[in-house]
Amino acid sequence: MKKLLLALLCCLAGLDGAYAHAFLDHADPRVGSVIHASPAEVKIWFTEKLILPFSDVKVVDAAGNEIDKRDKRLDPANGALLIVSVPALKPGRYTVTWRATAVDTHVTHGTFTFAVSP
Amino acid sequence: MLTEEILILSRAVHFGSCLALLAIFAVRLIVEPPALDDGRAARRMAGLCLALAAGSGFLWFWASAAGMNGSGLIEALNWPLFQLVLTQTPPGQAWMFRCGVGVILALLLCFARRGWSWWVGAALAAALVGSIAWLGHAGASADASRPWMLAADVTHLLAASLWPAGLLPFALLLRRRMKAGAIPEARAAVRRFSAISLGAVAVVVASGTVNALFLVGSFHALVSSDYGRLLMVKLALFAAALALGAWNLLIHKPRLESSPGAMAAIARKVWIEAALASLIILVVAILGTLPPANAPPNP
Repeated sequence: MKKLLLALLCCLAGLDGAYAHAFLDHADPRVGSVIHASPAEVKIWFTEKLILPFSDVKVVDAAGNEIDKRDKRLDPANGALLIVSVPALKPGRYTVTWRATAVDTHVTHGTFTFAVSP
Repeated sequence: MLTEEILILSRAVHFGSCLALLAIFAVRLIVEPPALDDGRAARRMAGLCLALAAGSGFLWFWASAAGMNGSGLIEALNWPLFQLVLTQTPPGQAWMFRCGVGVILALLLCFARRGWSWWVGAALAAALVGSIAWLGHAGASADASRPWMLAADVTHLLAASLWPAGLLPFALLLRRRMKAGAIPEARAAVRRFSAISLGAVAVVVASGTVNALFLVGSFHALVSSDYGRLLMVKLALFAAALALGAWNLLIHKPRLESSPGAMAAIARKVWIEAALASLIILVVAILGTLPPANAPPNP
């Protein structure tokens, strides 16, 4: 039904029908970066405040094992900053998978990688 | 996905019924006087709008909870999830406030008959309409401009209740007065509605411009994003409704006293304006499910 409604309006406005939300603003470690020291936390800044019970972040290593400390939290001073602690990371590639439910209830997902070099 | 369709349709019905609810009070208090009846018809219409708002509001809340939870609608129909959303999320707290306002308004419509009850009802309906802003992009904003975004959004919603949402109760009022042969009273209502709608349109345009600056930000974003292009559709519909209103104002209204057909011509165009307003509300319901045009792309 949503596709039909948008298609009708697309005829007037030439919309491409993409529905995906993309709200990641920046991260630390930076998306796609190679760092030389293991971070204590993975931080993701979003463009809207999040609802923590319905948001999630996981860090997995190259073998697909979840290695974060499962203590996701929002920065008390910034409701758009999602944080999870990680142990000392060995050199290698890591994938961060996030699910963000914004305060306006819209849900977005995403992944990015970073690498720790020796 | 069915959840998304239900979300859009429930939002559209909810916006329309809340705006129409406030419009009914506004027309009764500002456009209609002197009232030719005891207000029973207007109270029934208000009650119907409130019932629609309650039903669509529940569907919107339910579909939102399912979306947040990442589950289907049936799986999301459970009290622990609803309790979590209501008590631990900002939109849930906004919904609790709105439910409280709705209950008080329902009691008022059922039991209060004095003149003051219309003013109290208007204030409650305004709270119901204005609080929609806390469920949208403005309420979710994380930066220092949030109070300004909310102020612009609340102003936009309240002004839209007068025009274009006020067109429907105004069209019904005109029909009642013309049927009853109360032509001088119908002419007076046209002049009064014309005056307040001019002011409402100005506020809608100003507050809408502020909203667009926050959520779109640039001409490039307006033309290159889904949100921006759909906003242009909304603006085109708005312009069409405005053009009809201008036609009424400039061509038919000056002939109200002298031409017997002017009143009927105005009434016909008001119904068409009201239909365009319904389309605008549907577009707004979809707009709210899209990311703002100035949202950054995924790195």
